[in-house]
Amino acid sequence: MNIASALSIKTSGDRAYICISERYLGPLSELTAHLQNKFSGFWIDWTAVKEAYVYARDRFFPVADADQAWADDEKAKIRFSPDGLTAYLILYPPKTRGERMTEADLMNLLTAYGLQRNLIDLHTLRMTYLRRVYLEPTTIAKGRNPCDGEPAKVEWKKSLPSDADGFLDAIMLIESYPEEIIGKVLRGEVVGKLHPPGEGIPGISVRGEQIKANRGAEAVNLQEKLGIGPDGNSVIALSEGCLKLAGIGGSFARIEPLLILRGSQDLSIFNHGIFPGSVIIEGDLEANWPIRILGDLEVRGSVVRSPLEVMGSLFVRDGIIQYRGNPIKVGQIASAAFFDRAWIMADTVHVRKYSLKSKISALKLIITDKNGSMHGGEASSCKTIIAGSLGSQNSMPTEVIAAAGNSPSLFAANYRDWAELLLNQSQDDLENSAKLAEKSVEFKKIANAIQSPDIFEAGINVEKVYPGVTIRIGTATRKIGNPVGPLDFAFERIGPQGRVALTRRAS
Amino acid sequence: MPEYKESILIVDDTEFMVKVLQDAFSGAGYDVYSAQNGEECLKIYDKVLPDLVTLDVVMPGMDGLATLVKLRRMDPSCKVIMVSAMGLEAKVMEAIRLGAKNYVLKPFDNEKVLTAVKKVLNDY
Repeated sequence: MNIASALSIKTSGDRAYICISERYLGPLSELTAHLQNKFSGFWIDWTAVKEAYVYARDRFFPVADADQAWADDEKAKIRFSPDGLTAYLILYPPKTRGERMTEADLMNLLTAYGLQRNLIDLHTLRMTYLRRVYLEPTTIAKGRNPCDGEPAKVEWKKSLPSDADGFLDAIMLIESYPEEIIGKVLRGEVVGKLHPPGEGIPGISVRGEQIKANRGAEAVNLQEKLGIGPDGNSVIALSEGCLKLAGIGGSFARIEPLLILRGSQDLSIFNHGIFPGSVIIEGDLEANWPIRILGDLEVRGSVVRSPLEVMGSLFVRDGIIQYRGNPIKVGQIASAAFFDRAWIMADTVHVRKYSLKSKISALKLIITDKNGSMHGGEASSCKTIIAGSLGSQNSMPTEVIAAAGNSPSLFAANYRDWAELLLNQSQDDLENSAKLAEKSVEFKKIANAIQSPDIFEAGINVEKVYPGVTIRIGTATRKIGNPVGPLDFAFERIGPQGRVALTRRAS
Repeated sequence: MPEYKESILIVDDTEFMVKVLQDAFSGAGYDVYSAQNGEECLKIYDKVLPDLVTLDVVMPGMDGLATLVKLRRMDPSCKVIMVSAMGLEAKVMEAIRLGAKNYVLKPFDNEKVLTAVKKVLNDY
């Protein structure tokens, strides 16, 4: 496009304006040469010409005046942030006898730069104009950032997430403990509805240009044996098994092998090493030998005197009654209504009603329901304990420990043992070899990542503590002599052993 | 701090001088371009339209004054600071008459150059 056709000129009173087409690609020097002969009788502000060329295409921009004294008048420029979302006003003082700009002149100039009036901060603009803050860039307009679309998600028909964080988040949203946690699915069954990612809301620059928003991420990770149905928005199971969810909102899912047994059934299937899937026991479970499960175990009754190693999560509808044999070991979360003389090690332990004279060890968290209690025995977490009540009215001795002892090394040893067992079994079990080997590597990484607990990050939060309870955090110990609560316990570096500090909370 | 940067074009045939000025201007938050002679300066100027040019007076081929004249013809609003060795005051004065906004004499310290740059940029 040549300069002659790209350029429009108009005058209004003593003022002359130019409008340069956006499609003009020629250099400023060509425009300058063209304008030299166009404004006889006018004084040309060449700085304004450059501003029009760079910033004000397709708009009429004031560049000349019949009165040369205009050169000495107060001037203004607008500058933009690289993303186009912010506009800055810079005022230049008048020279010698130059005049001030009027407010109308200033607003017209802003319009000439293309600023959208509804995005201008009129108050700041007015204050800058009245206070005459010269040579200081002042933000006078802000655009709107684009809002990226919501990621895709699946609304699952059944199953709760079985990882610790996902499960605890989901449990908080429902009124009562669900009848089923691990749900059986049949081949071809619709297990969820896919909500596609959102398109997002575009942003707008200070000049009214639309800024594209990013479409939401395809965040749903449909892994093993899940697919999209012919309608494009149903998630279907490609084989029979159980739907295993993990992550907040079940953002990660797959179908795993599922075994459903009655508690009184023959459990000899577990004699052949680690079961490479999840298991549901309808009723109570009482096993005389170690049962090892790669996935999750749901017992719709109680666990009685059973040595279990569950590498996923353990969900027990009723209680775990043990009499202290070998510890039950759980890789993720162990959740039961009650623990009676149980000995359990898990990443997270969820006590729904009570634990009585049990030894509970958690790598991250022991948590009871709001009215849950722990009395007698020992509750030990490398990090956090959250309980309804600790101890009992009859002062049952109860040890509550955070970030102390040699728990981390025991957990690490446990994960390493599992890693070795899985690796050995992967060499014999050709069908599940890849899955077992992958899990072995995962457990080795988890074991290597376990560190000594940070006593300053550890804490115990409880609604009520009874006498007979001993609180220990790191090297500091505190015995409770009177009922007290709600409060938080933390470690304080005072004295050679430190101190268990106590902070009361409002009821 | 505003999120835009002003830009400076350094025109000097001496690599060392370009580096010194580049470091000074970059450190002060300017975007920096450079050219080694008058012809290159005109090409870059037309393309980039920097806010300010520092122009060496003595250069082989098209010298500083000739470059200044051409720059002013391309863009009468261009802001130029002449950079000159001592003893060339007459040339510097001629440059001011031809439209350069300011000058610095070598050897200079960075503070003086940055002050001169800021003063010129603050002039509409």
